[in-house]
Formats: sequence, C-alpha cells, structure tokens
Amino acid sequence: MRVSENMNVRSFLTNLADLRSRLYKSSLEVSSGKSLRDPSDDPVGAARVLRIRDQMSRIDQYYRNINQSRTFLAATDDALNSVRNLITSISEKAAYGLNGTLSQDARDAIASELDQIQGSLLHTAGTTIDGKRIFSGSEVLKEPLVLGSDGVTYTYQGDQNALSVEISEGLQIQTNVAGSDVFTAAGSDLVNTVKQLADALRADDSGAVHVLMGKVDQATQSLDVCRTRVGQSLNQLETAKAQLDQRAFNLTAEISGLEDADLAEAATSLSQNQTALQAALRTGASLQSTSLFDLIG
Amino acid sequence: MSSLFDSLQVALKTMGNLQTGISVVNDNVANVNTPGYTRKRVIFEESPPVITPEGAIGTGADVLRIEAARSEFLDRRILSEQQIQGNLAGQQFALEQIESVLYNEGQPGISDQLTKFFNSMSELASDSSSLSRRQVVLGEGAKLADSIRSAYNTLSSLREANRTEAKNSVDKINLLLGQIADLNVELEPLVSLGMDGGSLQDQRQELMGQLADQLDFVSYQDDSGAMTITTSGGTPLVVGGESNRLVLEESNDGIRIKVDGADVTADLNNGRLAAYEKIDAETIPSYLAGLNQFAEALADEVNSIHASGAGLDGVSGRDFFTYSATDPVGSLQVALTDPAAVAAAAVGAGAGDGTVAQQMADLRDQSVTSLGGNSLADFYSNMVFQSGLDARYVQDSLANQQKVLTQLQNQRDSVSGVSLDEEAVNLILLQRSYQASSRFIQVVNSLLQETMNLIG
Repeated sequence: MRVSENMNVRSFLTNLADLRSRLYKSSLEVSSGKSLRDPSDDPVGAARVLRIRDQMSRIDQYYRNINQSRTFLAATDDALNSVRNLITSISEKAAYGLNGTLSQDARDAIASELDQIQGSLLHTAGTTIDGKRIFSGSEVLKEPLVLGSDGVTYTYQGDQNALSVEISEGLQIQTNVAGSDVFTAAGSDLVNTVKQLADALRADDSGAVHVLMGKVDQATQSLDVCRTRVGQSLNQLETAKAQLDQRAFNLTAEISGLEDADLAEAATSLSQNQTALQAALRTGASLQSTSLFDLIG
Repeated sequence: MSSLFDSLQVALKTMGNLQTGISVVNDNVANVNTPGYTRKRVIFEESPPVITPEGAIGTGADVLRIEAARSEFLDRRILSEQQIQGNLAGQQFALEQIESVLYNEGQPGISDQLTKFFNSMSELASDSSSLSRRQVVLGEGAKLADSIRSAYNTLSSLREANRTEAKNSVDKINLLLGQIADLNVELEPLVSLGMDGGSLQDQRQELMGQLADQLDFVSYQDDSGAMTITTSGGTPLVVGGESNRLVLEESNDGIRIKVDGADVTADLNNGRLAAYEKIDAETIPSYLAGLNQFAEALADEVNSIHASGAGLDGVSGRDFFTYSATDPVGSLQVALTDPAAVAAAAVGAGAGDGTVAQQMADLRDQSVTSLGGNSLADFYSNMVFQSGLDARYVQDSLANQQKVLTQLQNQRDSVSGVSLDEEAVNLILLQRSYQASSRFIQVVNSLLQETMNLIG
C-alpha cells in the first residue's frame, strides 16, 4: 500500500486523540473514584442508582420514624407500668380494708389513700410527649378523661383511632394505646372503680368492696393485654431496625458496585494509558522528521 | 537531416519541461499538509517527430497535462460518511446535556426531591399534629415543584442554544453553497477544455466535505465541470454558478428549513442541521412533555388523596398542588400557605391522626394510570434511562463512524496524498535530467565551437 504523509499524520492524530480520551477517562475515574458519572456510562445502572438512592433515603426516614415511635411507645410502656403498680396497691389496700378488726378511722385513712391513687391514675392518663396526650387516641390535644356533670364520674373523651407509623415499606405499627382500654374499660372502669372502692370503705360496705375488687382484677387483665401489645410493638421496632440495617448495608454495597471505580484497575489502566501515550508521542515525533529530503543534499 | 541547432532547441524544451515537473513537485511538497489537497503529477508525451528521408527523428517531449490523483469513488463515499458523522456529532452535545440535567448527580435533583417529599409525608403521618412537620411538608412540596421547573427550564434553554447552533449551521451552509457556486464558475473554462481543475477542484471538494458535515445532499458533476447540488429530495441548492439560500423558520413545534419558500425539512436526514432539527422538534419536546406529564400526575394524585382528608381546622376538600393545564410545570405550586391546612387526618379523626398523610406517602409506590401504570419514581427513572441510552447510542455510533471515516480517508490519501519520499525521488530524477540536459547543451556548444574554428 502506498503511504502518504497525510496518512501518517492522520493515524498519529487519531491514535493520539483516542489515547488522550482514554487517559482522560481513566484519570477522571481515579480522581473522582466513580465509574458511573453520566447515565450513558451505564443506562441500566443509572436507573438502578436512582432507585437505590430512593431506597436509602427512605431507610433514613424509617430510622427517624422508628426513633419517634420508640419514644412514644417507651412513654406508653412507662405509664402502663405505673398504672400496674397503682393497681397492685389498690388491691393490697382494698384487701387490707376488708380486715374486720380495723377501726372506721383506719378504713377512712385507706379510703383517702385510694383517692390519692385515683389522682395518680388521672395524672398518668394525662401523660404528654411534645404536648401530645398519649392516651387520647387521635385526639392528641384533648385530656383523655373528663369529670362528668355529676362531679364524680370520669368519662373518656378521646377516640379509638390508632396512631400508626410506617417503620418499613408497607409495615405500619400502632404506637398508642387508647385510654379507654386502660382507664375506663367496660367491666373494670378502673378510674371510677377506685373512687367507688374508697366510698365503699368509708361506708364499711364489705359486699360492695368484694364486687369492686373483682372489677380491679379485670382491670389488671385488660392492662396486661395492652402492655403485651406495647412490648410486641417495641420488639417489632428492633426487628425492623435490624432489617433496615441489613438492607442499608446491602444497598450501600450495591450502589458502590454500580458507581464506584475499581481503584486498582482504574489506576493500572491510567498508568497503561500514560505509557501508551508517551510511546505514541515518541513514535509520532520520529515519524514526522523522517523523509528522503533529509538525506539529499 | 537534423542540425545541431535543432538539438539545442530540444534541450531547451526539455529543460522547460523539467522546470514544470519541479514546480509540480514543489507544489506537492508545499501542500503536504493542506486539507483536501490532491497530489499532482506531470504527464509527458513524445513530441511529434521530424520526418526525414532516413526516418523519423524524435524532437523530445511535451507536457501533455498535469493530472491530479483523484478517486471519485472514495470522494463520494467520504462525503456520505461525513454526513452521517456530522449528524451524530450534532446530536451528541445536546443528548449529553439532557442526560446530565435529568440525572443531576450529587445535587438534589427531581428524583431525590421526590423521595424527600414522600419522606416528609411519612414523617408527618408519624406526628401529624406537629406544625413544624407540616411546614416541612409544604417546604418539600415547593422544592419538588422547583426542581421539576429547574430541569424544565434548563432543557428549554438547551433548546434555545440548540436553535442558535441550527442558525449558525444554516449560515455556514449558505456560505458554502455560495462558495461552491463561485468555484463552479471558475472551474468551467478549465474543465470544459478537458483539463483538471487542480487546486480549484481540490478546494471545491474540501468545501463539499465541510458541507457534508452540516447537510445531507446529492451531488453530480456535469460535462462542463459544474457541480450540481440538491437536497436528498431533489430541491436544487447549487446549479452552475447559482446557489439557493436555506432559510430557518422558528415555531413552537420546532424549526423548519425552507428553500425558495419550499419546506425541505423532511429532506434532512443527516448532517448537523438535521441533528439540530431533530433535537429541537422531537428530542427536547419529548422530555419537556414527559416532565409536564410527571408534574400533572404528581399534582393530580396528591390532590385527590389530599382532598379526602382534613386539616387541623377540620376542613376537607382542599388541593395540595395547583397548576394550569396549559403550562403544568411552569405553574406547578403548593396551593396551601397555612401548615394547619395540610390534610393529614381522615375527616372526623383527631389532630394526631395521620391516615391521609400516610396514604400520600404510600403514593410513591403506587402505579399511576396517567403515567402508563408506572409509579412516579419509575416514570422518572425511565426518562433518565432513556436519556442515558440515547446518549450512549450516539457516543458508540460516533466512535464507530469515526473509524469508518478514518479508514476511508486513509484510502483516499493512499491514492491522493503526497508522499515526501516519492517527491524526493521525483525531484532527484528531475534534477539529474536537468543536469544531463545542461551537460548536453554544453557538449553541443563545444561542437558548434569546433565548427566555428574550422571556418575562422
């Protein structure tokens, strides 16, 4: 084949441009640490990266939701525990009040202790987090229990709505316990029963005390149902969090596999390209200077 | 019978011929790097002999013509490959811009902002009486609208920049067409006499190469040497010394290219101008339409859930986003200003109820009919995928096309290019012949001297 000067120049220039662009790419890869910078580098990978970023951002949100729920559930758990302790002392005091050898003064003293316990129950029912009542259902801005027009009976003014929080994709947990299940449940009506117990002790009506103590036992049972549910929700939070940790780890690994350059490989190809460029420059320089004209005088 | 004086005449003619040869070599060497230059060579021919009774005696050589080493076949192939390459190169810039606008790596792009918006809804659902969380939802909604608008505006200004490229391309084409027509006129007297057009013809070929980068055209040379150029649909652009002008007309649907009032846009399939036209009329509008579709779907879907819930004031039926159907992205805004108006709760539920906020958060994974059954996030990532695929296709094709073109240009240069070694050898040959001729004159001169001496 006949080789003209232009061909030498052209192949030199195209090879040089090719090498320079490869060198540019590999040096960009090394300096940025990324192999996927534009969608055209890997269109499928880029769409996947968007999806993974979305997932990772959601996981961050789920962590926040989990922390939020944990605070709420822990406060509920604490409140239910103190209700449990209050119920225990109600039962003890009522049983003690049934002791026939007690004087009426002593029974009156027990009755006023029970009145105080009712106060503690009302205080616990009004527990707030960030200004929100935890026992009022979705009516978080209202007191759960309100004194009726008779001046004696407390009624529940919250609702039965669940406060649900999304803690993972499609997974919501209920974080609240309706105050009506704890303080005014049908069959036990704890907050009013304790008042009636005090009144029965003052009236020395042991028959009524027996009946009311039965209602207090029922309150214990319905309370334990609520406590179990709260405990389960707390466990669920931890399980969900562990799963999110694992997913976040996997997603980080995957996005790194898609986006990040293999540095060892990128650095090797960078130095290979540098060597090739130097060789090409040397060859080009010597090619350009050689012709028969140099030799004829 | 021939005389010594005749021999002197022949030697003189030879030296003239050799000088022509040397100037052609000189021209070749001088143009070794001139783009489009075709090497020339001198074709010599025996001069007509003098007929004597003893027989024919030669009278040296004449310069028959100066020939250019052209390959019309390769010239044509190169023109058509240049048209394809110009088209790909014209598309590449815009497509790479589009993919980078949509992907927006590292910045809060549409995709990130969409996630944040839904995250803020999820957080509101967990604590829906909180005014600060409601304020965050309004803020993320506004930022999402802004990010869609920002991408839309960047694409629109990209369309403007692309139009400017198209206008520049039209100007360049008109200039080239005029220059080619002028060269047609200059070449006519040479070619009609059967001579090679020489550097004028090289120039015209080079201009046609530049034209091929911008436009696809059909060309043929008639007997007078004039190059006729028409669009691929046959609309004449250059006929003899006359050239037509391309006119670019702008409209919202895309640019139109007209020649003499006739719309030739459909004739444009290759060259840069066709690429700019396609980017302007199809590519960018399709992404703009996609963003409008996305904005409408977002607003409609969020609104329909939002209207079913109630704000802290108990009022329901309010929209979260507003937009006008004529310019969805441009007019997309958060309709609410009061954070208490965000409808997080079901109608009739308390302030802490986040059912409706959760429904809005759940929207992110739901298939949306107006987006062809895709979720919002999937619809958008499909757009990114498409933009990456388009850019990748053009990049790969351009790299291949570059190889094809280089190969063809090398083939042409193998025929038409200047080789310095060859020219050096030619020069040596010419130099030696010249030396021989001058030596010959010297010898004839001394013979004549001898003759003179005999007389004197």
